[in-house]
Amino acid sequence: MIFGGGRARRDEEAARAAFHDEALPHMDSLYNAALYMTRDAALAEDLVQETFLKAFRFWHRYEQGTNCKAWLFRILTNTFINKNRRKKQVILSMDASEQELSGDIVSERSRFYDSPEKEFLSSLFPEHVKQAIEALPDNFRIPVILADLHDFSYKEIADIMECPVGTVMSRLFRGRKRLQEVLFDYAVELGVIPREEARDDTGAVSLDAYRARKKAASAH
Amino acid sequence: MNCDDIDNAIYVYLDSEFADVEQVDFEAHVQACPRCRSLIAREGRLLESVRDAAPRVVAPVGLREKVLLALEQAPAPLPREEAPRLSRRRVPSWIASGIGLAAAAVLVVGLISGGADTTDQIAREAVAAHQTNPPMEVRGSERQIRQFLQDNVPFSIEVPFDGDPRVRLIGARLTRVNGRSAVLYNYEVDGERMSVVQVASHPDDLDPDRAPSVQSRDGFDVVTYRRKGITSSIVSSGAHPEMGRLIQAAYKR
Repeated sequence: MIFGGGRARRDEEAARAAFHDEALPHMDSLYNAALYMTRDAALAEDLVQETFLKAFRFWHRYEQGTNCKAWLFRILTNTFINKNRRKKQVILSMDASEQELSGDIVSERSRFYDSPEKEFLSSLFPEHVKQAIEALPDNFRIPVILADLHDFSYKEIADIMECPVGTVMSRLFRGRKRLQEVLFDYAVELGVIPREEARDDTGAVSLDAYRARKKAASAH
Repeated sequence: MNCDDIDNAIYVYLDSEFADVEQVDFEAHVQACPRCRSLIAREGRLLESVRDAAPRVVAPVGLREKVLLALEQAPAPLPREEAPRLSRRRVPSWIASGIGLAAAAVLVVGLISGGADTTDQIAREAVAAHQTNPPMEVRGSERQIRQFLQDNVPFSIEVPFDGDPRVRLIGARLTRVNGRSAVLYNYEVDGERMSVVQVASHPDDLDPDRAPSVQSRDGFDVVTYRRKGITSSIVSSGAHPEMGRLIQAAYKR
């Protein structure tokens, strides 16, 4: 080390400077994602701190010039999933939780696509959107967070979550559909859509009731 | 494309993830279909409103300070891997031929840094198992072996060299590495025996994927790689010129 000390110190300083310039500016983004993942401010802080420390430890593996934000999100997502898994002491099968959500996608879809009530969702309250996202199971929440809140592409999400692009697409589809359902329910709860009119006996959205109400409202 | 196709592809369209050709098909239908047009408008507004309404915050000042302090106390990161490091490591020709020198060098450094212990144990176990050559618990077709493993192994099975005609799967048995469930596979390549030990990664392991690396142990060259969170260590009695390429293919598969 007698001969190498100067060079090593310069290398370290360069690495620290590069980390400050390239990695640390993403702290706000990482913290936001961590909040939506953990649903808890203290846990989110821990997750972000752990992410940065891991990123620093493995900084030599980051290929300079590539997407640093995506690289950091990958560490964040991995760390979150691993922590969660350990906490629950069970490795949930991805397939199992996907099935739980899939239900009868087709009928769910047609019900939704044909309902003009969705218009109401455009006047959403931030708190409800937050709750609705947080209510999604991990497998669906993570792609929704990455795509809708952080604008990652499908390919980037696939890299971050380490799964095929097709899986990203299907989880995003189901996650967003589920999100719409929850938000729709909030709208009913809030009285934006009257409960008794929102769904008929079969639980489907009652379009006629909605139209009648809207007509009555516009007449006033 | 019909209306069902549009329903299925609507997010792909709204997320601008279409290939050009698909986009042309999609738009051709939508132009002629009022139902799909209004659907797209609604879905687009909904996505936007979620985007707009979702609360965003800045990281607390305290967090920034905590992170900066922790980083100051953290040990210096390892130097970036550079080409000259290659010469420090003897890479067997059969591996170099397929993996490529650069990749092999990266791996060696990777082994020395984080997670070295687990990887080392798996490699050690692979050599030990290869030397003792314990009886297999299941033999037969690849499908039968796969079925047995699916029923008995607590992690998702990643049969290495899956379907590669040059490498024949003979059998498998359950084993343990450092108290964790593992699988020992027996293969035959060019008449020589080859052993593979697989273990699911520890939750603390950072990377679910790690490119193949090589180390010498008891006179054997052991190749270790991690794919989809499963670490595999490969030991062979023979020197197969194709082996490096096969392992690289197994890793990239």
